[in-house]
Amino acid sequence: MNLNIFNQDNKLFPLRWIIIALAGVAGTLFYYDYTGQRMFSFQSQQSWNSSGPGYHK
Amino acid sequence: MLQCPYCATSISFTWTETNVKECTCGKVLRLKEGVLLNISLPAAGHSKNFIIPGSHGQWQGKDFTVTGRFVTTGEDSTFNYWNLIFTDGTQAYLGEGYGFYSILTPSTLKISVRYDKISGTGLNQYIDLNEGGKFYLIRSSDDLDIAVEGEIVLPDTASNTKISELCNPDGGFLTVIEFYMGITRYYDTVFTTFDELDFNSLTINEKAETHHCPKCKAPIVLKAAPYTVSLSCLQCGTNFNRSVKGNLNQTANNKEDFKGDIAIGTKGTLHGINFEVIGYSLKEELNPDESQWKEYVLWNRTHGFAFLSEFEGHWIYVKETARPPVTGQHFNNGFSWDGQQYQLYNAYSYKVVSYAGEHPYNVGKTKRYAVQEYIAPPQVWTSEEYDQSITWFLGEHIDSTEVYNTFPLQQSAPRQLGIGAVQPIGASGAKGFGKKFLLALGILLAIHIIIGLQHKNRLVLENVYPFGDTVNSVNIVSKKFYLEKSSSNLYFDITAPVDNNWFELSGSLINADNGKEYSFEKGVEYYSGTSDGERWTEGSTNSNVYLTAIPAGNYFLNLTGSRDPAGFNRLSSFSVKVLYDVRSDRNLIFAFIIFCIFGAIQYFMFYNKEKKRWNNSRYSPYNYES
Repeated sequence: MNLNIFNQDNKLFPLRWIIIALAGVAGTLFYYDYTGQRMFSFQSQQSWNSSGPGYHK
Repeated sequence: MLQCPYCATSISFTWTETNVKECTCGKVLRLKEGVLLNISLPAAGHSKNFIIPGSHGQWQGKDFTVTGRFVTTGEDSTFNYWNLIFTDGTQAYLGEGYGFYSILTPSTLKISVRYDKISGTGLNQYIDLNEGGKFYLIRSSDDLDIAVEGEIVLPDTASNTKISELCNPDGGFLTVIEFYMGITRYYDTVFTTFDELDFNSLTINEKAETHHCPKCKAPIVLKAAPYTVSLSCLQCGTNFNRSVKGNLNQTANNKEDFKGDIAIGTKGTLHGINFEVIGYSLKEELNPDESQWKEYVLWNRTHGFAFLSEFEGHWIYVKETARPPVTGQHFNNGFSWDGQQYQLYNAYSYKVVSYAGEHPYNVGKTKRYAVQEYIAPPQVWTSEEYDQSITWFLGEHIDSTEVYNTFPLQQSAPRQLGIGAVQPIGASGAKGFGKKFLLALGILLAIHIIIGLQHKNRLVLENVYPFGDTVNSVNIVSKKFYLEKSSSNLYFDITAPVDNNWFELSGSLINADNGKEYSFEKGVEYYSGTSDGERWTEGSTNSNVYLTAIPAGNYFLNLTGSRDPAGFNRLSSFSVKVLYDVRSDRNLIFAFIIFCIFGAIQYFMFYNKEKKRWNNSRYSPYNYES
């Protein structure tokens, strides 16, 4: 069974770039959805840690 | 006991169904009312075919025995009709030649149309066969000679035999034979393959026919005889035509020196068939373009001929088909076949400028062929119309690397230029691209929905907070709560009934375990008024904000709501609703947009390449002036 979509004998060869694009977009969508993140979100969410460098006198 | 009336040899018929037999003296005898008569047909001689009298095979689950054949020969063609007797006593003919196989049985249709009316019908014109319905003429051959081998059924005396082939749009195929003047026989014809006939004990030898060049005396070995028509001596280059009787007649020499890229005799396997290259030619369109292309003749004893066509470094594998893809005359600019729309790409006649080796057609007659090409990349249907026949070829783009790996070249590979006529050029040119694109969008939607179902959508905080009369800000510290997912979000839905003023919520989500803070600021403002008699509004009394990528842990919220200290309509209260682990549909929208942009780029590239492909065609649907 020929699974290499970059092989011209593979029936999916003409669709190879669209498959790659689909895999990329689907993977990105999965990551953002799964981790609760939002694509292209540029709002000013800030974070810092009180146990970081520095001290109080 | 029957005796040959010429040589007195005892004649007995092995099969009760047969009525014609070849005597050992070479006479062909017909049994009529218990008497043997000479019917003035020549004996075909013991054939060089791989099918021989006595061969056994199977058709549609029934065993058969080959008892003999009659062979028809015309000006440039020859074809075998093998007599088959099945174990149940029924009889059929096996049409065989050029790698085609068909089973002919007397038609069950009640047809009473005379042969001359059928053959007098133009190509692709329909003939109403009464009960048989409408059929279209695709081939008609007159004045065929018949010779007999073995023991066969021949319904009539045969003289100046005529054969026509008809098909209908529903897949029906009829062979009409006038063995003898005035008597028309109809045969239902079903095409099959060599493998489906399941022959056993056949010896498939390369039974080549050997001649000696009359000019240089070098041996000329014809692999594809008796189908070879035009040929050349590979030693001195003299060209010949082979007559149906097997004689070589010298023809005009090549006008140009030409050496094919693949040597004659090269063997290789394409589409699972072991081929040998037995000839090549340089062809030229008879129009102002004078485009030239190369064609290689491939031969396999049981699968017949195939052709490799090369133009500007682009290769097409071509094979003749028994059935036309379309019938009638309504396909001038294109037709639909196998779910694809084929468009007219080229129409021309051509001449053979130069050739070598064997060719199954008369190269001197090609100027009279009317050729049309219909493309739906990577496939092309080509029709060749000549006299009373239309022959269809199905071609498919083949990658040059595959050609060169299969048939090693004897010189450098031709340079590839432009876009080939049926070269596949990407996804948007692929079969059913639209459906596949929608399927891809469906996959993205499914991923989003499935992951969305896993989201908890849990309420963390919901409350209304009033402002005191003297203060303009409210500070809220929530109870501690636990967020369990390794990474997720918090959604803040803020409602403040502001009216021509503003409200701002600044908040911090603080991890009680390690002190890490995630903070935000979000304003809510709403203004309205009347300007030049028109009412206007700006902003909203509701806003929302997300904190994302929040790891698991114990948290609390520290929120500060601030109102506009000025103005007449000071805000009295605001409400905040906080949800944990919510779905964000905007991720799906962006995924759709990104994927559609990619699809649009693909389509744009396809459009430009397609336009370039059609640049070589006089039937291009594209405008090239702008």
